[in-house]
Amino acid sequence: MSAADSIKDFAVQIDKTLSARRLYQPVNTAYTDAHSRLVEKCRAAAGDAGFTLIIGATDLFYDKFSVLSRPQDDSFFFPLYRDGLRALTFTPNVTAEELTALLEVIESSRREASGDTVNELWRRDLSTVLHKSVDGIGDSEAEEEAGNEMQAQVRALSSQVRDPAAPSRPAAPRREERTFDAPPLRRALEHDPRLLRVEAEEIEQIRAELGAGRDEALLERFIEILLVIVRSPARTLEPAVVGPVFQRLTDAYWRARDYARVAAILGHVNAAATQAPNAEYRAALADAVRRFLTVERLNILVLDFIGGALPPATAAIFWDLVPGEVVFPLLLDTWSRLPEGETRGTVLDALRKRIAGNSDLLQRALLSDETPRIRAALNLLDEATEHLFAADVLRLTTHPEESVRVKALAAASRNGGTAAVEALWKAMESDPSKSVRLYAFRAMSTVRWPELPARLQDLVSDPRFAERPLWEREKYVRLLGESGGAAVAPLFDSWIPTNRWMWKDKDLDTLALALRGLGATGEAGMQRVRTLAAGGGKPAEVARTVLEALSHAESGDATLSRRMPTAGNVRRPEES
Amino acid sequence: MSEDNPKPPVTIDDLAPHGAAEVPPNAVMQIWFQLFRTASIHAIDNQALQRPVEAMVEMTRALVPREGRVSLQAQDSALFVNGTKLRMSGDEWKLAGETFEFFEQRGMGGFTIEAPMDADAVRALLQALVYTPERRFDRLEAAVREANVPFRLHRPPGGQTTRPEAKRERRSYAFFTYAKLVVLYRTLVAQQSMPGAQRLFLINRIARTVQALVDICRNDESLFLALSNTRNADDYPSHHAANVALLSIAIGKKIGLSKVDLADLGVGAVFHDIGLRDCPAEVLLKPEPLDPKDRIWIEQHPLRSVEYLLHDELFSRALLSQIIVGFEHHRNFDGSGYPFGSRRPDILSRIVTIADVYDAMTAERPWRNAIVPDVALGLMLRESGKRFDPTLMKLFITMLGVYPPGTLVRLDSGDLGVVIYGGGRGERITRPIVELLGRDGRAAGTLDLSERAHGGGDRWTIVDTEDPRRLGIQASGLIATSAGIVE
Repeated sequence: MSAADSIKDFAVQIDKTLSARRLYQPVNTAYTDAHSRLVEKCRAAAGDAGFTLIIGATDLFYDKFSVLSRPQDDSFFFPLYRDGLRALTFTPNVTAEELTALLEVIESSRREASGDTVNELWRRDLSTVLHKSVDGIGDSEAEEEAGNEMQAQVRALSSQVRDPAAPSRPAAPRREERTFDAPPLRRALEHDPRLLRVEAEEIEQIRAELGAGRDEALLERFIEILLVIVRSPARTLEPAVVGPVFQRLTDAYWRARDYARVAAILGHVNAAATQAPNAEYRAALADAVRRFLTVERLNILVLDFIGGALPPATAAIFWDLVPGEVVFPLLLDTWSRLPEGETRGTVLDALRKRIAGNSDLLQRALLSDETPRIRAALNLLDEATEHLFAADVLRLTTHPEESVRVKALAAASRNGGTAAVEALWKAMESDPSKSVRLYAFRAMSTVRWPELPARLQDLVSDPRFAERPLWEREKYVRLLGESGGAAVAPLFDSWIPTNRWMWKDKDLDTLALALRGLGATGEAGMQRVRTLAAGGGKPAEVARTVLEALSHAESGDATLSRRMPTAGNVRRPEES
Repeated sequence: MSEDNPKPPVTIDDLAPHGAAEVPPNAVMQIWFQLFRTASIHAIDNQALQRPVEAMVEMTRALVPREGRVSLQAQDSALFVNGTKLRMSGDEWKLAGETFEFFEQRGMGGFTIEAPMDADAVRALLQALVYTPERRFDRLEAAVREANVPFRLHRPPGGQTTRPEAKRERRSYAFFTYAKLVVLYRTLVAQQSMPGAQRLFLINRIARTVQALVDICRNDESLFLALSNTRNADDYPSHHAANVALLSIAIGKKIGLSKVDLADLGVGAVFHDIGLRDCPAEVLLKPEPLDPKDRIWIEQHPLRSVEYLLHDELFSRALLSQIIVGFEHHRNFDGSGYPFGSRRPDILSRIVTIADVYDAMTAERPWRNAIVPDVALGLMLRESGKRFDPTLMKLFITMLGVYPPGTLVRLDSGDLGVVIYGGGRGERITRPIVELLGRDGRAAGTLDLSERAHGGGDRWTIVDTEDPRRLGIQASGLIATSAGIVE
């Protein structure tokens, strides 16, 4: 392949590599292959002596021949040409790192119209990819371009400073002839020859100041300067300038996902937004924070927090910057999705903090249209807030979602009161979900309601009671027995069929119901059941079955009290 | 290894004969430096030469079999070892400077070692190259060939420019670059409002010009410092911006800033007083003391500088440096000063403060005459620790010398001379290079006051300094004539 063809190949490969960088991640094979080929082709083109590409507006040239032609708006090299770059020389020992640096500079020239490629190439300090550029002014007095006013000025000044004219007027004393009484430096040095000695510690201090963390130090100082400016009573910078500056800073670090820096900057800005003496500055800074922390960004932060990319302490800083009504729903939704663990605990702390500051946030969540949010809010209720939002909790006992109704019923039953028991009664009687009805039965059994025995008695005495499903009748009679006690034993007694020669199923069911109710009335009733169980025949069998069922129910009741944890009664690990 | 976190340079001890399996590229330069430097001080049979010779032998034995050759080349203010550009710390740059000088004195661009050398070969090389008054390249080349050592000299790349021609070209380029900076800055501040594209163009060109000045500084400090003596009372702000940039870059190089950091410092120094562009001329040029209303303009200019710079679209380390310098350059080392705040200024600001005050003191101003440079340094030294960073102040004085460039000195011979370069190591600091004045007030040749007389004593001595204003002498012109001629 001739030299020109190799160079042309290389020039085309630059284009291909830039495309690969746009389309693929660095770990992708297509990306790495493109880079490898770029290095190979460059070295092949460079041979032993290297080569130089001349950059034109629409063409790359080698030795006066065009090796690549592109229209300006589709050319990777036109921005370089526009900035004044005229030649790129590739040495035989060109390195992959420096070719990559060149590509990065080309990419930055496309991204940032206000950048300068030539500056950027100089800053990269490349030694195997050398550049030549023009700046429209020239490098020496010998260069002359007609009509170039700036060049003419520079040439004139250069000539003047190199060979200034002798003073045209005698040096006249000024109005105030000051004399300075400081001894010249030489006398100070004669007096103390060690005056100018620089100690090793001094050099180390300077090196430390310029060493690691220099970028952070510059940024901190810059932010400090801005904050000092906005905190001063005098208005020296336009507020319209200050806010966008902070926003640009935070945008840049956000794009780099440097959350720690973003949080630090916003923290400072937020503090200044409350402490700056000038109202316009305060407004501008508060606006900057508000504009930056959009709901979209907050969602991203939450996702990164859950994923572990955002440390809890930094996350807490962000949350503290956002009004409660904005961040509370996000946190609540997050908390409801997280499994038990430290992350969930962190979010819970944040939620509690906000509720403590404004309990209305919790109420709004209870009134939300989103079921998961309501559920989560119900889980957050403690004794105080259950009472505070009793009305809202009661409303939720008729929510379309079953899990919400259960939680609401639990909260309502803890609250107590007539409205709560009526809600429980209604759920017991007519909730469309069996599990909710079962829960309501259990909850009702814990409630002290004087009217309950009478109501239940009316219900079980109603002829239509017999039409209800067996499980339901069993629940009711047990509830009646527990709530009515010995006073309702006669009722159950009256149900017990007299001794039969042949017991029908219906009779046995009635007997079982009666014995269940009797057993629930207390020890005396239970003894009656035991006595019957000790006997023989079908009634004894039924009595024994009832006895067994009654003993399971006791243990089930104990389980019930453990099965309904809420935020109000769950201890945090450190409190245990 | 980065220039921001330099490792201690490799010493001869680190390259003792039993340890040189790996020779880092920078060590090649260091070993060469130690060899020719020691040879320039001691005789060939002096014991002091033994270790540098051994190190050279070990280096060639370690590298040549592996790399095929060892070459050290100087090009475009950089050193290359086997084609790889050396990245050097501040300390190493000093060694590199002497290496450049060594090559320049002999018209060399570098050398290549083609085979491992033994001690005898190294000594033979030194005889041919160092222990000879010969400085012509072709004769040195012949002498080395005759010594029969595997060592080849190279001319500088780009033709056979003689040393004086090369220096004149460099000087011309340096002054043109300086003038470019002045004109660019002047154009930028001249218009109160300017289209964004034009403003951006000028700012980018200023950054490029500062980069070129950084390259000049790294190559020839004496020439660089000579540029900073340029004065123009009719366009003080622009020249002041350029001079402060030059002095700041020179100080920054002394403390080992990388070239990128030097450029950032330089641009920050150029823009340090940009906030004064809004200040009325009658305040800026007022010969009488300022009243409180006038002082507000002056004390607010750092804030205006910040406001001006904040209009830049791109946030970068460079911009942050500029803003910090613009804000802090009137804040003192002890935390006093203006504008408000109590924190010690950043190191870049402390550098610019020194450069700013020195240039302002040594310039003619409407309310006072220029202060002669050595008196200015004396005044500043009194404020060291309060107004100025004491360490930076010491480095600044060492860099300029006790008799800074532009100082008019009277010698014991009765002659008058203007100091063109007085900084550096050892006795140079008190025994500068001066440009003698003829009776017509024009340059009459340079004198190196560190030269010894035949009897071993000082050949010339400075007995006093004079105020050039009283004698009607234009010091900057004399410096410009001789700038870059300094060896």
